[in-house]
Amino acid sequence: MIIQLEEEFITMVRENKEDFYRLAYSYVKNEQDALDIVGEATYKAFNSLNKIRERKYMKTWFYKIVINESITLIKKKKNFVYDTQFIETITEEAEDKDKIIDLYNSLDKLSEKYKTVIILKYMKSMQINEIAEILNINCNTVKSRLKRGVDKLKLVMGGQYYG
Amino acid sequence: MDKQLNELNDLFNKIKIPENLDNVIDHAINRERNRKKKIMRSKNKLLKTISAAAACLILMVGLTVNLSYVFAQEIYKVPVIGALAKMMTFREYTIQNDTSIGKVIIPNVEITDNQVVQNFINDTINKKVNEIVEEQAILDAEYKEAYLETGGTEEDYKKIEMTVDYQLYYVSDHIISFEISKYQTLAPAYNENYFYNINLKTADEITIKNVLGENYAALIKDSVEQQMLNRMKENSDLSYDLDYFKNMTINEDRSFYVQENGDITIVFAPYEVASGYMGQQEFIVENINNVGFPDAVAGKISLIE
Repeated sequence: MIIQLEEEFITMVRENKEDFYRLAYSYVKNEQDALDIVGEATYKAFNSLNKIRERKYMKTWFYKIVINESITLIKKKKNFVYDTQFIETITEEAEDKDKIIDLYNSLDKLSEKYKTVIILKYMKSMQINEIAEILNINCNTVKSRLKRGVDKLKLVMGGQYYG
Repeated sequence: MDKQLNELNDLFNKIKIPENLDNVIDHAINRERNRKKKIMRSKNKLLKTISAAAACLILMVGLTVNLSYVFAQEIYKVPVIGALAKMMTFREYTIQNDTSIGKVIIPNVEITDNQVVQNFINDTINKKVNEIVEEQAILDAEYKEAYLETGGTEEDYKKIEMTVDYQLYYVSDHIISFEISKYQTLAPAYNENYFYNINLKTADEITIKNVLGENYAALIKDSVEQQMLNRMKENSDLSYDLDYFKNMTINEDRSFYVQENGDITIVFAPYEVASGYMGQQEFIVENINNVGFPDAVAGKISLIE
């Protein structure tokens, strides 16, 4: 039974590795730390597969571990070297380049609680109910956190700028 | 700003995937696999080296236990080798006959320092699984007989499928908490879940009263009622039979299990306190680390009396 579960887990991680990596990257914004997070999350999850109560929640459960690892790393490591090259390159052709970069950078100023819902909703483009499942809170809480998060972002970026 | 927010997903998808991402994942998996292998190897070695010493110890206990109660207590404090108990799949088999198809997974516990308790628990598990399998075979046979008698044909008969499985929830030096379950396709009412909480020092089954104390029934009632109300308030789709629950008696044999983090979780079978579609209902009422347990039973050494 365990072997089967392990195989299922490995397949799940491999199939979704890009999403997991990008999610970690959204928090730490540099390649090395994002890789470390994915590695550490995989190791820890593989180590505690017996904690999964239902297989269908395996992916949700792993998302949660990636998020926790990301937050832990951010708290542990105060000085991050953000890779600014990346954002510069990919926004090059956007007409509102400055605004996007500003928004992307402002995310880091939010507390984890708001940052996480905004990353999941807008970066990862997840549905409210998926977010609720991952964070183990109800949909209304997700919605209100999103709203407050966006309000705070506006505040951080200077309310007058975007109205 | 909404426009920019919506563009974030585009950014997300453009985050470059490093070439060594696969390596990092493989490495993490192998790291964990090697760790497990290492532990298994060192445990085997340890077992071999202590078996001789253990033989002496058992002999000594046999000789002296009647003479010195204190001495016996001392001995039982001696062996501490990492986690003392673990549970794993011991045997797996399939059933294939004219009436049924089944898969049976039987676990075993391994307790490094206490063979007596280990054998006792495994015996309990085996008996229970056999009982479940036999019962289901009778049900299936009765069903098939009725089916054929009422005009059904052998060709149209659909075999009843059954799975017997287990789930380990919690294990400490003192307690193991697990579940043996049976799912089958005959009728939902025949699904069964047995929760076991066993004292690893004495092999005694731990009841909810042992864990929560004399006042367990009132404690459960208050806590569960409050949780039912809260859940219904949060989600209007849920419906608990509060009137029934308020009048029901919570007995000492109430099913419960201990979660990984120590949460003591009370279980109600489907239909018991809620509409059937809500399935089995669970309520956390306390944490094992907050109730002065297992210290209360740790001193008990009923098996060597």
